[in-house]
Amino acid sequence: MSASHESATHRQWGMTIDVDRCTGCKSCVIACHAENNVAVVGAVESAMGRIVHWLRIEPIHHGTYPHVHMDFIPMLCQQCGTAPCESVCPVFASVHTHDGLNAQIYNRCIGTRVCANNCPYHVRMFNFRPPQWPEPMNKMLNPDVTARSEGVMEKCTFCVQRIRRGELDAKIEKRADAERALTPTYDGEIRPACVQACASEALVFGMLSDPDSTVSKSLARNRHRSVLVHNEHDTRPNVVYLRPDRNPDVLEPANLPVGQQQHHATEAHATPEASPSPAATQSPTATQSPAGSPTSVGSPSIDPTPSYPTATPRVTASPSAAVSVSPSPVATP
Amino acid sequence: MSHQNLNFRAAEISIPEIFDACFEPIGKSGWRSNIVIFLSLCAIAAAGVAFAGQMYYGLGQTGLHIPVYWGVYIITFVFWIGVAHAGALISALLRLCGAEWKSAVTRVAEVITLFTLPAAGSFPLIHMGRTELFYYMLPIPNNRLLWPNFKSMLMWDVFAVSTYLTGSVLFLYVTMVPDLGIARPRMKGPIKTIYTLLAWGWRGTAEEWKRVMEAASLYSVIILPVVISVHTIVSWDFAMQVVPGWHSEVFGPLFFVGALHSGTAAVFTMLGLLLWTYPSFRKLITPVHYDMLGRVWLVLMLAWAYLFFNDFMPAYYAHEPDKMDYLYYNAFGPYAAACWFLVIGNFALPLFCLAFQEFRRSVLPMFVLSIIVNIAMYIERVFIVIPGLEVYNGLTFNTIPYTASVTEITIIIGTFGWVIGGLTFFCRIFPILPYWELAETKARQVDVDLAGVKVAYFHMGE
Repeated sequence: MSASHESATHRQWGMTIDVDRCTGCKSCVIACHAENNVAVVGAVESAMGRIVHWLRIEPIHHGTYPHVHMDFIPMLCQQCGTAPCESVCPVFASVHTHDGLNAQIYNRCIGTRVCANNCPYHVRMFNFRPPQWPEPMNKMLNPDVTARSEGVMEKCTFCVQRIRRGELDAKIEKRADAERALTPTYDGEIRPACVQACASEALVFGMLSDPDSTVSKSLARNRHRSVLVHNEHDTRPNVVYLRPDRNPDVLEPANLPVGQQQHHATEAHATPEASPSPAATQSPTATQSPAGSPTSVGSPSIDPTPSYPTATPRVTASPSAAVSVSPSPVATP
Repeated sequence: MSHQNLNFRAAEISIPEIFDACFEPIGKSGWRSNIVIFLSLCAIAAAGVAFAGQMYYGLGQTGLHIPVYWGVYIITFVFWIGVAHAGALISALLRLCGAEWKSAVTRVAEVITLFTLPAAGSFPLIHMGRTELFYYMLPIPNNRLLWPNFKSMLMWDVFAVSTYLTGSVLFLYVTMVPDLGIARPRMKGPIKTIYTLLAWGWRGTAEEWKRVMEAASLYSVIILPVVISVHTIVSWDFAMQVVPGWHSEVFGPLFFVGALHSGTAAVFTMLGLLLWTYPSFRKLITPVHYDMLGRVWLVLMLAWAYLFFNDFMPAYYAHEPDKMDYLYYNAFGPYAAACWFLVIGNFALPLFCLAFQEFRRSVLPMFVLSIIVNIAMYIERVFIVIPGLEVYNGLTFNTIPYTASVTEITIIIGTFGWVIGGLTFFCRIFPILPYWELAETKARQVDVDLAGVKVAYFHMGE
């Protein structure tokens, strides 16, 4: 179902998530709920395990008591290039859009929930009850977003309503030109709610197939610590995680919180011989200075071949873009 | 084991007596079947109320939650599909193999299919979030060119199950037409009307007999690939997903053989009930039938056991982490007792029991064993569906185990009511034993003196 990646005009929205920068404040979760009319299921349904979050924060502990460290992994729909959810939907309710999004068509969904079973990230959420909101919140629903009915699967859309509005604005202003063949919008003009709300700028969103976009530069700058979560299923996600320096293998499949494994994974981190010491994996790319760190210098203990595949060939084709670090220039038309 | 045991003989009664025995239950009502049908109707009504509640209040009425999206609905779907496989196996396979002893059990098996398959087919609809939109899965031409996704295994399910339902109903009906035509003049009242309508003017000419025989052979050949594909496709519902306990290459044959295992057990359950309810059937269903079908069951059980353990062996050799987690969760986790009951009830106990001819030939022990095996096979389906999803829980905040709700249990009991009541009702209206096949076997039997031993021999057609 994935679009042809070889096309020169292939468009792919993407995101980088710097786990080092995430403080776990969960403002992105709240922003997502507010922007996308995500239902508040209530205490009873929550206790039954039917809580709905399009974006959630996975806390990963490691270390033993005096030396405990915690990483937070914002987990949202990875907008996979070869999404497992798309091929199994019997009615094409889960489809790929022309700009690389993983769309969920609520009207078409009949609620077989097979897509949710097949999602390695567990980011597809099902409405077990008709959506409801507590008293003041039901008056602030976003009119741009459909409220999903009971019996329908829903998930993160990369705030597609903002993307479409931005594209419409660009169309009204007749901004399309050859320079911006991929998207008529300015870089940074479109920001999903979670990106907008992130205080530490851990989330960066943009046109991943445009080498001059902020997200591509962020990716190129941090290529040596980029990780695609659960790419062992060949899902080719378009959300790229940047692994933290203190716990570089937190994003490996064995250490991700998959059921019973989580306990053992944290135990393994407690023992020094089970994981590389933090000093050995110290990356030159410190969190405070994103500029001036050449991409060729990678820590020797980290896998020299980044696990980012060729989902966006234009990024890999232009390494020069990695050197120029300019704070997201808004190009004049 | 003596040679008499291996030498199948047709019923020792004359052909008119076979007719009387076969049609003895027709049109009669006893207190036992009345109670069964009444309770079944109650169960179906309760299930209807529960389903209406689920439609109104949403799938929140079930015990499903975020990581465990598939529950007892899918388990029972797989279970009923499995039981439904008895029909194709015993009718088609034994017919093709030319097993003369098949006549007594073919229609029992086919009728089980007739009622269990709709019960199975209802579950994907019940389990859907928006059941009222089930027609989105049908390839109905429309002006927006919206088609179902033919790459989805759920779509294959739709086609496989509906094909199998059509084929098995036709198979059952075609082989029942001669019985209806033959019995029609001797029936009275509404049953005569039903027989007259369904017999399509059967007169019993040579041409009609030829066509029925040809159709039966043809359907036997056609339905075998269908029946193999049906449960393989049901297994692909799981095997084509990334859930560790599900993503297994051996699921196709494992599901198929498991279905035959449980389907044969269901036939023994039904045979036991028939022999208990209708004493006249004891002349037609003899210990030899039990022995023969018991051997088939033994082989199927061994095949199931091989494939079941083979599901875990490669993962164990390779120490594949996900599958090992799943295995340990099953064998030593919260469901350990049920897991070991599964192994014992499905493998150890039947192996020990079915190995003995005296056991295979006795009705009540076989009845008890068939009940145990089907309970264990239901648990096997539980283990296929639930622990995989629970182990594969990618959520840090959600480790709630799955428990079926009252709504789910009521609907499942309703399908049991549909199957049991339907079978009881069928036995009161239609001949559950195929008179013409039994009579034909009797007519073809020739006794040959072989080295001083009287051996039955059967003329083959023409």
